[in-house]
Amino acid sequence: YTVVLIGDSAVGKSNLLSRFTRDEFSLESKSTIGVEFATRSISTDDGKVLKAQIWDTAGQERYRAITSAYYRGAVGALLVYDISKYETFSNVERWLKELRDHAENHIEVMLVGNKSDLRHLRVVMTEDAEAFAQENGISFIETSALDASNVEEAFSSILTKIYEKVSRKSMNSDAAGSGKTKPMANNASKVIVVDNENDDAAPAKKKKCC
Amino acid sequence: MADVPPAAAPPSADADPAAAARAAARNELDTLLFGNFPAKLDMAALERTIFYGAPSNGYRALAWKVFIGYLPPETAAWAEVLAEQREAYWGFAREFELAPQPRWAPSSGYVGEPVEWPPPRNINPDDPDFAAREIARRVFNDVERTCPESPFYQAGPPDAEVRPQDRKLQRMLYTYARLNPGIGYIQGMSELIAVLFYTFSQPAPHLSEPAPHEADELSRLRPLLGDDPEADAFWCLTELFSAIRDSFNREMDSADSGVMNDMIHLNNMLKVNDETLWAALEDKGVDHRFYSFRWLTLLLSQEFPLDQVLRLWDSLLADPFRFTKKWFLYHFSAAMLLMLRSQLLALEFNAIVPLLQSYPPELGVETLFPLALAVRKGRYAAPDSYNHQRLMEGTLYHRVSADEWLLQFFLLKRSRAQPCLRLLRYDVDPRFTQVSSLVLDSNRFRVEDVDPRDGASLLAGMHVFVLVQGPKRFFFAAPSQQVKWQWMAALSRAGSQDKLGLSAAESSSPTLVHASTMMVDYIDAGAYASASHGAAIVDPDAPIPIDEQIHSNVCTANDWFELAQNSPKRISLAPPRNEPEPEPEPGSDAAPPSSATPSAAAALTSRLRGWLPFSQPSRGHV
Repeated sequence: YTVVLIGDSAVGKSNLLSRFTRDEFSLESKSTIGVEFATRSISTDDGKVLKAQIWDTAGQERYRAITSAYYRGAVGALLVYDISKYETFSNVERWLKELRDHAENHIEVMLVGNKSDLRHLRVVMTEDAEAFAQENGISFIETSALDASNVEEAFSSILTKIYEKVSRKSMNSDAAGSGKTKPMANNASKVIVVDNENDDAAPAKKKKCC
Repeated sequence: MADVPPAAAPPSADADPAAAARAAARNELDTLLFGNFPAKLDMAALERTIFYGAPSNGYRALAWKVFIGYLPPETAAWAEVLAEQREAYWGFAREFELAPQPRWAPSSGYVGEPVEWPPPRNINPDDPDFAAREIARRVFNDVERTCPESPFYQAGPPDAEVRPQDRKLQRMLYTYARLNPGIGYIQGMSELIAVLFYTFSQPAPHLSEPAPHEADELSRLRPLLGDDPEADAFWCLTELFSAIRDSFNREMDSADSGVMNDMIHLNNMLKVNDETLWAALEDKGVDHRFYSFRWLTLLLSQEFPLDQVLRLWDSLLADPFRFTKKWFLYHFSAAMLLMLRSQLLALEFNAIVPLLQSYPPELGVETLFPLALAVRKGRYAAPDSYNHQRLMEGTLYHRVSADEWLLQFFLLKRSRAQPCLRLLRYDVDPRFTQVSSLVLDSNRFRVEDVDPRDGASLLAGMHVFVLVQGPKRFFFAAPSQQVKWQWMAALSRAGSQDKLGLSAAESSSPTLVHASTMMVDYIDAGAYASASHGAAIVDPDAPIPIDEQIHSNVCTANDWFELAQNSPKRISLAPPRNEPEPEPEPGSDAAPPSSATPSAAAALTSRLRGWLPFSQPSRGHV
């Protein structure tokens, strides 16, 4: 699965990645120019091993022309902001639009409020972010790459969601008699995205109305 | 192992190979830059010299300023340029920091609070100076994480909110962004200016002390040169950016000069040089943009440690084709891919991308340099290609110089991962009349019955030394001018004709002239070019360990030249038909040395001698 990390510059994307893939954190990691890449595998509850390719992208506007190329194969996106910098949260909307314009429409998005260790500097309230996430039908979590809280959870939750989505789709496609099932292959999920649009678009809302 | 141990070194400063090499390079640069204080610099000569590495940061700083275009070649204008530009910089810096909203009417004074360092995390969106403060915040964010491993930038009191050198970077970048609102601040600029500012900030005692009897004008200029690194770095960034800014400009991405085109250019260069590798990468889905974007926009400054970046930028900035599509930047980047050929062919996507995004530290700039030069000259041939076969056969027809041999050897060795002890073994019969075989130890490549004149053509190559002992001849090649200087200095230190055993040369003496085992070891360590500096005569049968013999028996290049000169009958040496250039020109296609005639041996050897940085051979025994 390909997952991209996006969000304003200096919100901690690279450190989230290094915390997840290497369990490392650096206060002075270099700014990302272009994209960087790492992999890690996790296992799901039902014992399936999920292999993730994670692209860490540059935050600044100038680099979006380049980074948008990496959205294309992505099935998941962590949209990161910094809870101590309001502007990074107000820009989340722009990032979502960026995703809608460039990524697959079935992409699984998770809003990530990073730097939760900076409690005394918090300017983005958890409730506000939660509300925003619900409105837009995406999931939400607060993390700290510095003290490692919720980092593992954020990645495994999005990967599991992607996994479930893909297996569900392949089951559906089996049911529809559309032929051979390839649960792990990206192109399988791409093919049937239109059919499942309604089921997947807003999982949060769906739960509520049921 | 990196240096000859002090115990073995004679006390005189000349005997320290590194010092002697630096001195030789300095003399050359002093002549170029200050000799008679030329009214106009010989740019071509300066470029040629610095291309192979500046001998110290002082010369580097000065030469870069000239190459970048901050200082004109007309030396008479320097004092004025420096004074004017520095004053202008400080004027801008003060104005923008004091008054985020510049008021152009002189009467209105400044309005608004000065920008704060560090800037606040959250800026009030209603602040009339929001834009300026936002620039300051972005600049601050990035400068804070620029060069995290450099002691120069990390220095400062631990409780300081802003480190002192960072403060200067911030001022320069903020001023630049305000002064050039069309460009503003773009991530990555901080990395470029950090390289410039570091270089300009290094002390240059040799440059600042006037030499005896030098022109007054020069004495007055010297202290000015390194005076104000901040203003100089600012203007050099401005000049540099006016040359490469299209790479940073999103609007220009698809233009000819934009970064997309640059990346495609590099990818095509890879295809031309090694189609197998290119196709393999395409096949594995390794889009060239994954690695080349950062390489090209930041001029490779993120791929190597700072000291190596400086060395690399010597070549990049001294390149007469700088900022064009024929820039050495592309050749070097292509070499970085070619060097990893075997890994790139073997590994899968998930391993390749991280490998290219964080280049193996054991492959440094000096290691890559000869390969990059070969790419530039169109002399690279992939190990499994038809061209490679031709290159190997080419030796027969004087088409290949020894450094290319070394390069090919090196690549073969890397691709097959076989250990070896010798670089190249060049076996000739005792009378130098016939070369019986040319053996590459690592892969058993063998050319039988090589024309004896190959020896001459190899010698006519710039970087070759041949060591003679008994019936065996070994040669090795210096991969760069810098290393050649080091070797020559080392080789001149010790030894004598006797030491080469010339009197017994034609006997079947068991003594071996050994083209430095150390050097080969350092190839394995990936640092051979900078660490190795000599060759030693060792006797494998002697009771002394070989390592010790190497240390105490460094032999001399001068001895070899003397040998060649004194024994014209026995050595079939001849100059090539086309004059070889004393310094290989960056970018020039080296003219293939051609057929040899024995009678011209003396001419060749005297020319060889002329390349030495020393006027007289040093005869000091160890």
